[in-house]
Amino acid sequence: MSTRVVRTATAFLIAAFSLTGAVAPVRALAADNVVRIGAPYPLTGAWAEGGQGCLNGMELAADEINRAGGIEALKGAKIEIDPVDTGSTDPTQAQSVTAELIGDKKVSALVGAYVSSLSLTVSTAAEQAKVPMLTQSYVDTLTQRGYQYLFQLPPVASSLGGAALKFYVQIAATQHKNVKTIAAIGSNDASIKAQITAVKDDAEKTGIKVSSFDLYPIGISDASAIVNHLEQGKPDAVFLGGPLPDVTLIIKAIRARGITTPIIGPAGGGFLSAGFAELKADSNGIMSTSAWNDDMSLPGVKRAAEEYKKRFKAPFMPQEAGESWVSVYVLTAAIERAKSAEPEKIAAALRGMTLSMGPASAMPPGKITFGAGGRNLHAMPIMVQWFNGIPHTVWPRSVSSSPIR
Amino acid sequence: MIALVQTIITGVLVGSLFGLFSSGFALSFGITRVVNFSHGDFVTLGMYASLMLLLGFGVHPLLSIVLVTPLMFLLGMLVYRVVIEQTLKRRMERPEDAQHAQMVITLALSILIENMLLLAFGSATRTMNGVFAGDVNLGPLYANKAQLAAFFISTVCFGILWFVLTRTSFGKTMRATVDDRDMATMIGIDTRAVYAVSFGIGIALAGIAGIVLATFYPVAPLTGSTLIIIAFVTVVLGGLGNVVGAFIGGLTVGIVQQLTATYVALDLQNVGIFVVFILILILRPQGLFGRRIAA
Amino acid sequence: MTRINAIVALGVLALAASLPLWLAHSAFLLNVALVTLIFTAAAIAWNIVAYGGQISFGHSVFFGLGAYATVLLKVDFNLTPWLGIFVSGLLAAIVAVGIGMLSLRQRGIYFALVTFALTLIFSILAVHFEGLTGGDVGLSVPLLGNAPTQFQFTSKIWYYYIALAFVAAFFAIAAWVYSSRLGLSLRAIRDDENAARACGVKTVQLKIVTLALSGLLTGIIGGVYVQSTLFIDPNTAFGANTAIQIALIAIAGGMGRLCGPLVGGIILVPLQQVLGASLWGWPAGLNLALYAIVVLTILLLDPRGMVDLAEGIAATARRLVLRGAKT
Repeated sequence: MSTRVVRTATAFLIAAFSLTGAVAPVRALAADNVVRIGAPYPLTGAWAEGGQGCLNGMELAADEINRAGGIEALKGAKIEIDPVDTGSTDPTQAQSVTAELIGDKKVSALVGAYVSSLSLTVSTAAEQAKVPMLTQSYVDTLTQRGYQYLFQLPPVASSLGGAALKFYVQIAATQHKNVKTIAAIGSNDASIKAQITAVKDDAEKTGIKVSSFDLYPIGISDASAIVNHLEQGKPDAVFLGGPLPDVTLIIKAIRARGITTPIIGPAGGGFLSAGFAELKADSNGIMSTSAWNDDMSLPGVKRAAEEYKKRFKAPFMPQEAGESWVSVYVLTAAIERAKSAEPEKIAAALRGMTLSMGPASAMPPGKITFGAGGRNLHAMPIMVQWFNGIPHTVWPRSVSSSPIR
Repeated sequence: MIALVQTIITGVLVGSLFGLFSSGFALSFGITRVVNFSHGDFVTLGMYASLMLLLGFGVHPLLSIVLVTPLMFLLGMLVYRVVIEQTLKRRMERPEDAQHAQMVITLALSILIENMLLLAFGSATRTMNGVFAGDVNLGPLYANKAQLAAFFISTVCFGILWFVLTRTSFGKTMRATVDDRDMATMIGIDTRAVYAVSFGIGIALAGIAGIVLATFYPVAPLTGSTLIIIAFVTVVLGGLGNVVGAFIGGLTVGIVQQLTATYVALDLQNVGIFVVFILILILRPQGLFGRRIAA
Repeated sequence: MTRINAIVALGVLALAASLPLWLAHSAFLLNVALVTLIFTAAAIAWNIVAYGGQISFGHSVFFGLGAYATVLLKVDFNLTPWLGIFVSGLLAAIVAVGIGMLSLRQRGIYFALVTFALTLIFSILAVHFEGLTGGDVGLSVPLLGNAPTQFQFTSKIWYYYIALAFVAAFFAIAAWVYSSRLGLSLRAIRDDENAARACGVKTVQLKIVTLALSGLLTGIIGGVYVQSTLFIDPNTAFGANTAIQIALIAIAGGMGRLCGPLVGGIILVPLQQVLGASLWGWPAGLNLALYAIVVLTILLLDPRGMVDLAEGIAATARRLVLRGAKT
């Protein structure tokens, strides 16, 4: 008898649970005179940390703007960030929550979605609904599809690899070192593969010898084959790309063998997340290209970084948070110019707009113009170097804040 | 030639850990017939235990093995008694019905463990530093200290397992249960206890593998979910339910992985495993060391 | 029994057809409903293999092939996805025959292990053959606005009704298989393969044919899926998550039962979607942990799934009522 009762009760509970759940996401619309910006990010699962960083950056910017009196052209309208969780691995959830943002919450614009596969999914929905979207994802594909409502802030992946090599050769020259031989190692996912192949091609074009070129699968269980190649080739510099667990494993294996060659990463992947500091002493001196760093000498960056570190108890303001922070300022500038919070008008204002003042321009080199297809025409990578668990901007000199170590 | 020897040595070192947790999987499958989809997540659990004990209390992973393994064993028994055994209490049309239900229960368990770890530790990747750091140099050959330690621990643990299974009366009881459960019950073996214990041992072996793995491999909540496929390939290679076959299967996977990585292409290292896997399916579906699987 | 099935099915169909009327105000819920239908259809296709007692953890292979082939046929050969989904389904069926020939000769859980490993093989291949598949980044369907002849609509309601039609068609096919000679033979295989073979059932061939049919349907719905999202990447297409999602729905609903995947899909997919979308303020991982607890609870209450659980409850209630009437 008792088991039967328990069974029935549980069945009812499950049913009730699903029903109450189904009603929960329909939230009341907020008060008037606010401009809503959708923030679709992976807030759960494997990518949650980066997604949360993006959201933090957006909220920081919204608070700064609202404190300063909101949007002038709309009688001081306040900016409201509307976050939703896309999940890390489930594009159907990304699709549902984007439908919620666009269809139900009627946001004016979107900033998202950190992970390239999620950005691809979300931007398709935004394009269909004609809602402008700013993205911090850097895969080339995003802006190769001829979309009208997508705007890509950072430099694209294929340009980052070449920059890593070019910058490092310049940096080595200031230290009176000559780069004759390099090794190129990268995971075989699309963006890292494109970057590391660009390193190899550019090196060969400029007469630098590539002693080894290795593409490894994500989740590699052992780095011996890679280290053996390095040991045989004795390169002057190692260019290495991939997700955090893999680059951690590889760097530890390289240093364990007693190889002290400088290591340089292309942007993205594991080199720019806070977890990289877990390598402790092994992280010191490692360089990486990046699209944004929290100590660049660009308008508003240092103040925002200070507040970010205090408010979110973080050792530094990560790249993706910075790009998201800039994105909200860019959207605000577009709304001021359009004098409207209508998605179509904001998108029209963004197209061909040039930003060169204030935090809305705080992407290197301090100027943003969106060209056809939505790329940022001025986008320029920078070089950061890890020291004591924090990445410092070291190159180019125009935005750098720290000496090269 | 040296490169080839080096490659095979690394393959054996890495493969020994695959072998250790796969033999745990094979043992609990051979006896309880449970395909444990959450086996890899118990490896993750071991990795976090190892990491947290070191960071929080400065406990060396070698000592962690002694501390954590009994707990993992008890946890495995508990999981079997509380969760998996439920499927046997209800009358099923066929034993396969119970087996299918068990499979899905362990799948749900896997999702549960992964997300509990996510709740507890966040999604960030954690790394252990300073334990077994550096390489050992033997003439022209190198071995990573952590991997060398992993190899010794795996072989010792597997040796103990093999000894228990073949040389003790408890092991004989277990093997009798594998051969014919009905007969085992008839001659007075408490099969229920044997099931729980073997499941506990399987989990304990996964835990040990995790503790050792953490010394050289970064850990995140989903780390184990990639290992489970290696366990599947390994046990199909070694013959389902064959414990020795699973260990040798693990070594084989390690060597094939390294050979493909060095001589074909690094990014195809897992494709090498799957080529072997498909060849086995076609040529010798009962596994390298397997008996024909009973219907 | 079959009458009850028919009534349940018609009731669900009627309810589902009217759903947009009272969900139209929420784009979120409409999308959840669409995803529910797509995965329910895939679970119905999965379940056909389960009639023969086989359990697959690799149906994402067929789902992914259907999705990728539909996009590639459109992009490279300009074939309208209306035909593309069926061509892709055939492709999935052919692959299913190959997989069946490799793995269905062995019995028991062997098939489950092999299909699960196959999800990884296909993911690796999809990433590796970048020129064909777009590699890790995935493939986008070119946007055409509202183009009904090209299976593209700006309103989700169209996708919803199309997916509903596929669920109804798949259910009818599954019901036909279940009640046909094929279904009878399959159940004979499930109950006792040796006995079935002794009675002249060509067990291996039958299992392969069934897997091919299941692969065909799963491939088709994979094509429908990609037209509704207009984007596919290797992980979603072939990854273990998708394979597990499809299998979990059918098994928790009632494996090998006609209504199992229907009940499982309607309850579990919305639960997962809504938990995912509404619990983000809580620590990461809570949504899926709760989802896993619900699935665990269902299976611990009744390892044969929700349909069986509901029947048990109904029988208990009937007994209680009868006893009440007597006293």
